Amino acid sequence: MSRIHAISNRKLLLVLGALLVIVIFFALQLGPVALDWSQALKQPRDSVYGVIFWQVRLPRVALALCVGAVLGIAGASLQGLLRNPLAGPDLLGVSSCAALGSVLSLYFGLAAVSWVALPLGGIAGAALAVVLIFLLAGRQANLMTLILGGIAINAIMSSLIALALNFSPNPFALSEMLYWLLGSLANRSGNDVLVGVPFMVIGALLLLSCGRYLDALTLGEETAQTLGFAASRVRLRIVIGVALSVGAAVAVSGNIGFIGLVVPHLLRPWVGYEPRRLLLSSALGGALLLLVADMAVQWLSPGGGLKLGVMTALIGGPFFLHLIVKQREVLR
Amino acid sequence: MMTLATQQVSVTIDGRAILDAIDVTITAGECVGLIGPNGAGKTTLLRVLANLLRPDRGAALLDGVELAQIAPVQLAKRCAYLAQGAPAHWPVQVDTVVALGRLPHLDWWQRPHADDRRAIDEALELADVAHLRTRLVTTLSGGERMRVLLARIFASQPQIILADEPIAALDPYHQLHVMELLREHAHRTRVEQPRGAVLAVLHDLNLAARFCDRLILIAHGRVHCMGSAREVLTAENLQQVYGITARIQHDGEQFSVIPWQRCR
Amino acid sequence: MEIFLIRCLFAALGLLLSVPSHAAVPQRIASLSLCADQLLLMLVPRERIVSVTDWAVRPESSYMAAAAQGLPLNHGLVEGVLPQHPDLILAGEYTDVTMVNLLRHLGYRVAVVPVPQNLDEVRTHILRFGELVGAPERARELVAAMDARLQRIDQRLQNQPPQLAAAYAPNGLTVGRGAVLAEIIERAGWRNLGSEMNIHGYGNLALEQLVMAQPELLVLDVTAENRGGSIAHSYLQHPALASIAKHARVVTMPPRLSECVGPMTIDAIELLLKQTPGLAQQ
Repeated sequence: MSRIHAISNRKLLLVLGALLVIVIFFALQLGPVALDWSQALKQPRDSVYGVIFWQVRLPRVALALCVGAVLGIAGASLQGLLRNPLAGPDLLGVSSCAALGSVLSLYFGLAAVSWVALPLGGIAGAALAVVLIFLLAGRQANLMTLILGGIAINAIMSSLIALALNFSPNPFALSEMLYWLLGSLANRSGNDVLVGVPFMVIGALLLLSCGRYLDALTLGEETAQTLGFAASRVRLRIVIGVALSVGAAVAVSGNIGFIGLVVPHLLRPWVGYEPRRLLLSSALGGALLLLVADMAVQWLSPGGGLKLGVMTALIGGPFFLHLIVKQREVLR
Repeated sequence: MMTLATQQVSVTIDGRAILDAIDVTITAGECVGLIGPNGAGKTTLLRVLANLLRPDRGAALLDGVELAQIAPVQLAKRCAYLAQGAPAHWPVQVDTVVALGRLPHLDWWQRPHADDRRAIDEALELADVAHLRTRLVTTLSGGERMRVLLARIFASQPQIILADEPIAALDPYHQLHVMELLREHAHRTRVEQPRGAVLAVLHDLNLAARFCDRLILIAHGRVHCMGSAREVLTAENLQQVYGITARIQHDGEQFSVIPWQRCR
Repeated sequence: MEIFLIRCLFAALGLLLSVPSHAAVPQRIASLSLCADQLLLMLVPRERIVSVTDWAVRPESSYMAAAAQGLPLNHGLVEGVLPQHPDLILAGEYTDVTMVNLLRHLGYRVAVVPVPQNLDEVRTHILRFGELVGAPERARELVAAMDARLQRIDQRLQNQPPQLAAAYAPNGLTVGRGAVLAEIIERAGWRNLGSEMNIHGYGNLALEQLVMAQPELLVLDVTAENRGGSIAHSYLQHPALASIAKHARVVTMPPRLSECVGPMTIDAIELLLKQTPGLAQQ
């Protein structure tokens, strides 16, 4: 089995960045309506092509990049924190809390009152997740308690979501909630970008700031602490970073899985298994992968029938299995 | 004179008193061996001194200042901890692991400077792992890995080294090597560096006797006896604390202890 | 076209198989389906109806809600129906099959009433329904009234070139050939975007395609009022849809007019007619 050799950070980031620019270029051209740069940019913003480009395509691409980046970096952070390549962004229970928040805002018809209610509901759910995690894990944020707490939160939130679905006011509200839960970036607008991106950026920056602690964790928790880190404070920073970024991502797009699990896995050998280097690369890689997945969804079902979350699950699952089998020797 | 000490430290875990009002001091220039039977509290004491554990009563002090009051980064620059079992979680390269020792010295945006690189190179040489620098740490033998982690400690250029069973899984050659390195760290007389100190938890009584300037014998969470090897490793102490009889031989320079029989 | 014929065949078969040989006029009719409720309330005097669904009394979803007030509700459960001792139970195509089987097993007469897919089918459907529930005269009157209304509508629309309309529901759902709403739109003198995009029944419409098409009429397939979870309003808040809404007419199609097919369908057509340009408004 050939071993992938690590390449320098600069090279890797350059390659990922270049790929990203290329894919963005094509993504903005892709859609059910034939449209290209020159048409879109020459026309005024409220013309037909202008509306399609600025109000429909651009927000969608921007969100695909941000959500993908955030899922990637959150997955890499949690894998670094837990020193386990099987951890994903939903481990702490943040995604299910955010999903519940948005589902409830659909359930109570708040989304019909104002556009902002749906994503804000999700962010409120994520905030609740942080409170619950603090209550369960305490200021020490011991790792085992974090994991077990996350499992408990996921279980409770899933049951509440099931309750909401069970007692939905009418079958159409039910289908709305179900479709939202499947995860999609279709029909998102600049408003969603305005609400979601600030939280995602803050969360991602918080996570990036914890890179050195994650490197130190290579030597174990105890040694990491003696290298000058206030361990519980850094762990809480990671928890809050994940909550803000993943919470906002789910609030805006629903449940999109496997990106946070697969991207760090793919990139880890290229960064020499160093957790800190993996953070930024996973952000770029996640953005790239989700954008490509969204393009595939648009290409396969131009009307918007196939949901992005279903696509990532269909491809992510078997792909993840393949990765595990291939890397069995290197995994501990 | 640099000192690291505990003052009346007590630690209770799950209702059991692991450490009981214990007083211990280490000063610059000495290599101290911490010995005692299993469960005596040696690792716990080491963890208190490394600020990994807050004592229930009493305090650990560095130069008279409580460890809790010192910023973690400052403490990390002066004090290095070698954990039991030499854990290394990801298959990273040896030089990456050793570079982690420079973390307390790097600031937010600083890339490793020339000094940092030099410290890493010197550390690799010192621990005799320079030839392994591009190997993955998870592919090394136990002994090699321990030396790599020791190199990491040297790379952070600490004054005090707290080592928990550093020679546990090593062959005799490497046991001697590691003890020499630790002693050298404490005794070094280079002008630009203040003298260091080493506190190592050891089970091998002979190596402890040979390489340590002072031994601290712990039993039931208290200091039973403290002093030179000859003073501490007496037949009485060995019987009382370890529950064994031993053949003790001292002729001139050489001092050896051979555990012989268990007492009933 | 084939689908239409097959549907007719099944509708006929269904009605045929489920109605045993001519029976006495049923005196205690229960209904387990909203659309059966509607026709029942239109054709049969109140004394002969013993049970209707919960939906029947809700003004948002039931055209005959006022008429249904005060009737016993069966909550779609077997236990809700049995205490009324019905001699005829009407079920819909999508009524729980296990419930239908259980009722038949218990010896009750259950007629599965399919929903007609368009206004052509509805004539035969209403007449057969009238036979089934023992109100054939009333059924004929109803069909005649509907035909008259449709004729008047067709006359008004003569020589009006149809403009483009699009139906839009949450999640980008639109309707195409074969769906009732599509026929409503077309009968009201509009072209339906979904049909022109070769969608059959319900299908997905991307926002981009909708913007590109620049419809003159937007029919929002709202499924409930604010209180209940519809996000129709939030769709209009999307800047792209708002840009369409700036120069297009927007109509909210309430479910009580579009869910079932019958006289309410003509009400739906008349609702859209109000938006059709160039008509002398009556």
